[in-house]
Amino acid sequence: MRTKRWIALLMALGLTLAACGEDEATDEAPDTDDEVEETEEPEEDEEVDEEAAADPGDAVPLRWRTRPDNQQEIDVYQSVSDTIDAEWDGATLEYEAGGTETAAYQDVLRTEIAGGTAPDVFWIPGTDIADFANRGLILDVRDLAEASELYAGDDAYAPGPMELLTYDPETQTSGPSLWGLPRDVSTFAFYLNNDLIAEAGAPDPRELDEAGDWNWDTFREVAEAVDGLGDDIQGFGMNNWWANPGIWMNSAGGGFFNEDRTESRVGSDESVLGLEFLSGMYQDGLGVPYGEDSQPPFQAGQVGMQLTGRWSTPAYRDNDFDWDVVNIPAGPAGAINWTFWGAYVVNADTEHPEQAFELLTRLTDGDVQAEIAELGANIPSRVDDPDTIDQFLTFTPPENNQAFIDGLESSEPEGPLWEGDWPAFDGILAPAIEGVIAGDTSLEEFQATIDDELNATFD
Amino acid sequence: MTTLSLPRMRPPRLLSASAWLQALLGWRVLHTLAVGAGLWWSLTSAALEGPGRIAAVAAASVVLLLDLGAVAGLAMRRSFGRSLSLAADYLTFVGAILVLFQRNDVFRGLDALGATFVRGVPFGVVAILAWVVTGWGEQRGTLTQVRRIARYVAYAAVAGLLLAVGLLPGLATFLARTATPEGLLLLVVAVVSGYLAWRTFQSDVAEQLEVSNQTTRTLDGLLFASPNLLGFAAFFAGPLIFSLFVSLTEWDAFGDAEFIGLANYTQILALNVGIASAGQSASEVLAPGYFEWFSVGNVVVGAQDVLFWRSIRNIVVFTLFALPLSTIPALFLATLLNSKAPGIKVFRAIYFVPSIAGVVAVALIWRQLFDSTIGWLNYLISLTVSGLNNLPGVAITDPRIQWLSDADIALFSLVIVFSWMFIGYNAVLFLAGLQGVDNTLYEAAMLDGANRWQRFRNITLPALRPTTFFVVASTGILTLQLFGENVVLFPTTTPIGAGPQNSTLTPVVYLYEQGFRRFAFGYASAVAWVLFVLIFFFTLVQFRRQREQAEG
Repeated sequence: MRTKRWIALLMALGLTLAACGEDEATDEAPDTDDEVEETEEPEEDEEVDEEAAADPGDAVPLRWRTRPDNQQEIDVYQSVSDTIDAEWDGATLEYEAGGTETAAYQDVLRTEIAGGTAPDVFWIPGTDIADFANRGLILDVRDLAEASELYAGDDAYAPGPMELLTYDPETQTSGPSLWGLPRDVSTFAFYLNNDLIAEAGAPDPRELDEAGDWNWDTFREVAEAVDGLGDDIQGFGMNNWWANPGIWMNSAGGGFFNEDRTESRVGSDESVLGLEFLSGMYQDGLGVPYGEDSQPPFQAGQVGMQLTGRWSTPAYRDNDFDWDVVNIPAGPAGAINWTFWGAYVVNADTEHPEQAFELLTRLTDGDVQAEIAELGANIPSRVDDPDTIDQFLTFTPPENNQAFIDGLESSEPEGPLWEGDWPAFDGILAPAIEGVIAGDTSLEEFQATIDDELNATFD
Repeated sequence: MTTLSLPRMRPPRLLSASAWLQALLGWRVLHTLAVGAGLWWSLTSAALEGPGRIAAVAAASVVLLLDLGAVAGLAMRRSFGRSLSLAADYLTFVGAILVLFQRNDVFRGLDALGATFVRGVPFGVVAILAWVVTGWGEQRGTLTQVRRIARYVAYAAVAGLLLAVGLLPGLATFLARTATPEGLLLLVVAVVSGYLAWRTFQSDVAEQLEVSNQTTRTLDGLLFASPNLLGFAAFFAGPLIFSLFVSLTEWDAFGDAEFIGLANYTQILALNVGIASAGQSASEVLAPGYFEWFSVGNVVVGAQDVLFWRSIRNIVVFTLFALPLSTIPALFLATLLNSKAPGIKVFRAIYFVPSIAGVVAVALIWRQLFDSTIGWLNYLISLTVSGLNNLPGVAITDPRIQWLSDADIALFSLVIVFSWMFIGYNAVLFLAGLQGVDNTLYEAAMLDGANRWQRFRNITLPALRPTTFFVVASTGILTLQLFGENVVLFPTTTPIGAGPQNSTLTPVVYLYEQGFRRFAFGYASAVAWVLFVLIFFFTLVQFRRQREQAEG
């Protein structure tokens, strides 16, 4: 019996000690560097290994994470990570595919930050930048950028996101700070089921757009025609998300915030006009019920037009009907889209800030962005090389990639709320809009109270 | 038979028992001063913040109290001094080991061990098989040589397993990481504390203090249960008390918490009632800081946190529907399954399946079924309506129910999913209860002329009271904690899981939103404690009813 106890104790102790051994390879302890030198004999034809072996003491371990939407994206990011890892002897990279948005990517990340186990570099959506920065969770990398030879400069990236990424909350101006670098950008377009539209005898939205006649009236006309094809066919669809009703407010001349983003503008006449048009479409039964996922019925060929971003493209390439995209229709103030963006940021607790910033520059390099854009998910955020956009236009289908570029040129950047609490703002606005669209709240009631409620979420 | 047996190793007993007790008192005084200094450092050091500081202060406080009690007890030569001294040294020993492991990244490495463990699996299989052969031979009392060989094979396989999963590099790394002043200090503290606890635990020291047999047995029991007790304290009781503390603070999980007393609870629970005259809006009749929750006639009820009260309203409505729908049909289903019909066991298994399926998988399937445009439910309803409309004089409009997007219906979609998941489980519980009912009672009732309903009403239901109590109480608690189904069925609403116009917002969804999305961990903890009180009273009422029925 005593022997069994000893063996059990030795097993437990042995396994516990064995746990120390696995991450030895990435350990920074000087004693392990010697082992690398001894064991990794470079071969003549392996240039990368030669570089790594030349000065292995400089290589630091870096973990980085982004939020992919599907396995193809995971594969591309892994490939990008492997390529950078092979070319760069300053760091050893470990790519971690974060969960999707609905798998609580940010929630997991916040928990890891609180527990001190978050990666050195991670991606977060543009709307979260202010929250993370104000709580001191991410580094202001301006000094690192100024000392870096690889950094291409603020002007090399899409100006809308960069204005928000360089905001300094203390001086309340853009420029002094740098909270990260935009991974890519995207924008909304209407994905069209050309077969349904043709069957309904409706005008082709792409031709209407070409002729300058793609506006709210013609949009409704097409939706009505398609919706008339049957009870199980819907004219249009869009998901329940702040950005979707937002474009109707934007295009009506309204919006979420005043110019310096310190007050709500949702209750303005212009914003309410956009909501009025949108709720009319829903209350006339022309759309996939607001609050339900419009992607499955669109892919099932039962929706004429679906409002979504460039990120839906990889999934739609398997559609078994003729499809394409068109820019959003113009409202009274034009076709004012969103620029969606997210940024790679540096964990404030990283032990290797210089290398982490260098990883940011490498991950946002033009070639890397082109590799990711080829997948069809998003648009490169680099604007310093016109070839990048020209190359993007060739990544078909959809044929009309120009719709996304047109959308970008007339758009509001989705943005962090530096002077307020975006999650609180969103938490109040979303159910209020649901009430209007469902007809449970009148536009007058909405307009009378919404700004007071939303303004309570500003500092 | 000669067997391999490891030697019985014991540390030397330093000093006689009386000299040891004197030395122990001196050590305790030093230990008290050191722990007191540690407590002071934990309270003032900038190196610690948030939960790290709170955990350090709590641990140091506990050990300091033990030390002070031990010093007093040992000075008076009372037996409790030995008990408290043992506890303090034992906790110091465990704490030093855990901190050393944490410092050496052992716990983080356990993840990696999961990846390397597969290399040791073949050795593990061989060890188990060899051990089985040993035991099998012992039972038969034969083949001594084979048993001996099998035993050596088992030892060799265990050694092989440890080597295969990386014991040697692990040991080398551990020693390298320990070979720092801090690491060595922790190791010394662990060894010294461990020895002190062991020596003080010896019987000669106990006899010196005339420790009673009862105390000795209690200490033996506590030592035996200590791994579990420490785990309970670290992973259940500790976080529970911590969350109570956090609920009295404003804390975002990153820095130090700011103590604000009961302010979170005040904000959560504050209600205000106003009477609106003609033309007055709700905001005009409610006190500042209050928003309209609901109105009855001209009476306006306001709350500081309307969303919390909305979540309470939702969960009460949900429970009122989901509880009967997942228990009453289960009872009738159990009576059907309590027959001896051929293949009845298959049906019992089928009805049980939903309760063992993961909530995410179940909710995902229901989300597709509920889709109002391409979902199966509406498709079947359309087919039915279409069929009925073919009948003469019938003209029914296809309702095209918006299961997930209509604020008046969404909560009932959740009721359907929840009830579907738990009917089978509750039916199995009722079935177990039914099978415990004495059949002679039914036979006697039948002789007295009782019909089927009378037998069910007067025999089955009373006999099932304990089962019914358990089913209602456990299902009720589950309904009040509703979370996973919401989040999967309504992933795109804001807050996530709150459904259209917050119609499926429940307290747990709300506290998740506050804690993990809004960084308001103090407020989220307060919501959790309010929910705890709600569940506690719900269960208390069930207990009282059960006791009254049993006594009546």
